[in-house]
Amino acid sequence: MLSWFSKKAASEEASTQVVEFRYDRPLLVITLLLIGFGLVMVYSASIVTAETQSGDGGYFFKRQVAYLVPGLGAMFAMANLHNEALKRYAPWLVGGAILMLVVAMLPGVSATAKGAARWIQLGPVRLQPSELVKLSLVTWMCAHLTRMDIDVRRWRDSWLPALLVTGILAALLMKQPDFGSTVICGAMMMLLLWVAGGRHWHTGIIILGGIALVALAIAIEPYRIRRLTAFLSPEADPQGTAYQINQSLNAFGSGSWTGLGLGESRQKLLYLPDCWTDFVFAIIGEELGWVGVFGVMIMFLLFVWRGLTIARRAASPFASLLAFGITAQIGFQAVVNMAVVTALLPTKGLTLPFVSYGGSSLVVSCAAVGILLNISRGKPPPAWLHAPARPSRMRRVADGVAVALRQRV
Amino acid sequence: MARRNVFRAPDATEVGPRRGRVRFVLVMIVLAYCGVLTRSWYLQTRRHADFVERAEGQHRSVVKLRARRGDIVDRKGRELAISAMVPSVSAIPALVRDPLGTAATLAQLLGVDAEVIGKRLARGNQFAWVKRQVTPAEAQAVEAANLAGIELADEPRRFYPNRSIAGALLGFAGVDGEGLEGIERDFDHYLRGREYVVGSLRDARGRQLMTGGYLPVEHLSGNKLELTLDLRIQQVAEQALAEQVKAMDAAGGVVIVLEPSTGDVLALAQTPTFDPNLYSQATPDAWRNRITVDVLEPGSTIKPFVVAAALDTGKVRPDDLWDGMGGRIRVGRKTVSDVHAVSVMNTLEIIQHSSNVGAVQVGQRLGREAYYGYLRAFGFGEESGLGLQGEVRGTLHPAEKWGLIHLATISYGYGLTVTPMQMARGMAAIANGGRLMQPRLVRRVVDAAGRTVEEFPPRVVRRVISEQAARDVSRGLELVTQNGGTGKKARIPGYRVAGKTGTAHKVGSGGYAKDKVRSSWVGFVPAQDPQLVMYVMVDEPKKAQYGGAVAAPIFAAIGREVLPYMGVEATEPVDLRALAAAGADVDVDEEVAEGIDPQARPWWFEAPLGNEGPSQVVVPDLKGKPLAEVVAQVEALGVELDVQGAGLVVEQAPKAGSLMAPDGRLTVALALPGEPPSLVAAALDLETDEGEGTP
Repeated sequence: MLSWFSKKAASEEASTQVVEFRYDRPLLVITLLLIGFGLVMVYSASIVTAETQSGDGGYFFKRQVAYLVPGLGAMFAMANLHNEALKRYAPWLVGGAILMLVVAMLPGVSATAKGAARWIQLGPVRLQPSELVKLSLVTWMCAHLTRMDIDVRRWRDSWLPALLVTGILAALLMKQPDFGSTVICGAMMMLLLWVAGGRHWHTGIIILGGIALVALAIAIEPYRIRRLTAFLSPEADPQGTAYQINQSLNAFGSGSWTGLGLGESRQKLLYLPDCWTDFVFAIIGEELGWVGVFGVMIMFLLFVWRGLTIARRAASPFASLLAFGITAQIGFQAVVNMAVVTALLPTKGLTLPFVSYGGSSLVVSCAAVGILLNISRGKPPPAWLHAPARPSRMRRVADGVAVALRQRV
Repeated sequence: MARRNVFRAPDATEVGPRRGRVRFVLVMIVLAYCGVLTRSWYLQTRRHADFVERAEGQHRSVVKLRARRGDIVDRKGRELAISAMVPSVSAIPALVRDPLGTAATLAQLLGVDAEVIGKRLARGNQFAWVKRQVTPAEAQAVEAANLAGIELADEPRRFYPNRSIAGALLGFAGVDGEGLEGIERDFDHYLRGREYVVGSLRDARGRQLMTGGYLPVEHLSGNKLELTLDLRIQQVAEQALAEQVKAMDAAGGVVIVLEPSTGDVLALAQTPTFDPNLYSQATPDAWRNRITVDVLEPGSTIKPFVVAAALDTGKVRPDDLWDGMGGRIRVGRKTVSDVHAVSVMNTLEIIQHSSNVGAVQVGQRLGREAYYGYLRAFGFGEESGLGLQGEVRGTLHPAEKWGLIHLATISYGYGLTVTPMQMARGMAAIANGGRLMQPRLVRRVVDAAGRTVEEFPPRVVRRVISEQAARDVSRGLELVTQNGGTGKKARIPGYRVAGKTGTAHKVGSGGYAKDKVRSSWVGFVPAQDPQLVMYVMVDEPKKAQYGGAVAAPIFAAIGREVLPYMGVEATEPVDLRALAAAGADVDVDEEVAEGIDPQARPWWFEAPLGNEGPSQVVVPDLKGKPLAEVVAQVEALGVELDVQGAGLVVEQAPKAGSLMAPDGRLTVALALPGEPPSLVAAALDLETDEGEGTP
């Protein structure tokens, strides 16, 4: 079985093409279109709430525009930082993510909303570590799975460290609690491992185990059971747990083919909570109708198409897997968000990438696109990454432990 | 490249994403999107109607409004009840940031209970009243306080400009413009403005976001009720009654003034009464309209009716002589006696002396069947048809149940009960030459545009007695006010007065109470050409008891005022000495005359609802009027006038029906017919409502 990457590398070697180190411009255009569209929809959806809460109808819109500065900056930075660096420093990324999750729990800097301590408050800025956690995990998974010294098909080379790292992150995320991000992390871990060549039956067992864990997590938290019940029978308690999803459907279903017209949403009159963040897609459906919904989906599918094309043409196995991982994560997160809004899945806390209001989500998504753009250039690693770095003391110790373990088995 | 690991499995040469698996994932992603897209199509097109219905159910709101309630005016167009726009304070508790603080502020500004309001505001729902229909000063204070979630809106409020005058008759309307008592309740279907709805959009906190703009709702306003009542006569009657009730230390009393030729009710006075502006401060007992609801035994005032009936049958002639029997007549085992024994009297003198003995003999000659028939014909035992709810019939047992004693007692007014209205109406039939009229309270119903909706012409119910019999009884009634009669105090200088006194003992525990009486007078003036019929009853007077002493002076006091006012010329020479000898009060009570000013301004011109704050005037509707008329009307109000343009008035500010300060400025925009009003209005910097019709 040939890997995608190796086939491509072989063909390129044969044709001796001149490699152009240029960004994938369609991806950039699609991303910017989605962000621009998101700004319009955030403004339209949030104006009433913003007016009511702060007296300024453009409050959320202005903040989202402000988030574009770090967002585009991160995109530019990641586009110019060679992806080999990510591979080398992936463990540090995961370490940073863990640190942020721990900090988010500390009293004083932790900010709480709706019963979840998900934010780090730094002056006027609020960081949501879970967004960064997802990207870090994907990066580390890709770095680990493309190491030359492991065999992906071997349990202890692949699943064991992956489960360990994901488990630590998941535990910290569940402490917040952020069930949605936890599920996404677990799912991305399994997906990447399987796509990178993990054994089918290993994957099957892990998936079953994952489902069991999810069931357990639902069973021990009464509010998750309520949400699930509300999802299964939304008519039962339309003013309680099922309120949001019912209002979401009221909005979405009112759209018909072409919608009520931009800015004409009725459900944004404080009926649909979070209608500019997690449920902005419902307002899109209401104001722009099926045509608008179709347009948004086409944009995300084009994004996926560009992302997988970049993955196919990537210069290294790591870059290829990373491009695939980022693309899949954004593509899945978007469709899961849409499925939640249309009541196909129970309510999570997931944003619609690029479109929903939210600084952390926007900045991390932009950074992810920057990584994709960098991969799309296909440049060879710069000089400072050429020489294999001397393994750090930590790494040497860890490797030593790994060697000792393997020898004993 | 990376180091080769010595432990690496020999067959694992590939690194990176597996092609087939990526394809599988791609297919899964595309399938997921297709699934959501299909779901979108299903929700947005197949089930579109459901969601639209559900969504509209919550954000489409309909504001129900009620058009202005119609006015009530007297027979000369004087306002008895009107509606004016006044501000009300409401709250959207969901938007109130600090319920307790807000409630404390409101309590200070409006005098409401801070605790009650605080609870109302803390409930967090979408609407609550704070205080309805506040004074302009309170409204200004609330507006200046600028509290979050507290709103001001104009509502029509009912005003009774004459305060307690005719209060019990008019009744009152509630804050939502629904008639609750009296005429306001019983003629509510005419007065009530029709409800109309304005569509609007409502957010999740219940705030109305867009209203459909102002509608021309003039045609939905309630109709104006034109009563037959005369405000001035009503005032005179109430004052005279109140003074006498006070002087006699009585529990209460009623006065009915009718116009015999038409049956028009000119005044319906009762005491105690109440101010319908402040109806909640009065007891429900005071709300009662005693004239149609209270029943009483008529006593001697029934005697003219038995005599009239007897004369009409021809069984009795006016100059028949009757034996006084020494003041005592035995009926079965019972003895009927007179206060003053008369030796012999003719038929008319029975009325003059109010002889029970004579009345019993007349009744015996008439016979119970005939007597009963005449009483029914005079309207006893049936509703008077005044149009007021809850009117009672009184008790008049059918003739076959009358024993001998009944026939005797009913002949002098015991053993049956009547309402004051029945007495007045029956006497009006005698005054009217024997024709019984239906009493008329409402003359005309006029819609907001001035068109007559319904008219109530005078209606003859039936002829009760012949004109000759009526004339004969009138002569007897006139004797009552002459020397030897019981009602000399009913005399009115310059006029011939006819009437009958009555003093009926009230039923106490275990029989008739000796010291509790109802003193009454029923009569008309001038005797030869009756213009006024009056029934006066004073309940439980303590200083005197006989109807001639207690009720007749009220009649005289009213007649002295009202006859000149009605333009009824005096026909008799005024002999002051004779009057003085008869004990009548010669001095015309100037106070009564002073108290009536037909040009009197409604009371709130001087005193608004609260105690302090500027007085307010009601802005008249000037639209379509020429300048000269506008100037005259505005001058009468005393406010300053700004005129812009020429022609007829097309716009005015403030709007008609609102209240404004008397030192305020009224702006009118005039335009020649055909000139586009929007231009005019824009030029004059006045608000024009979109969609309002052009004149």
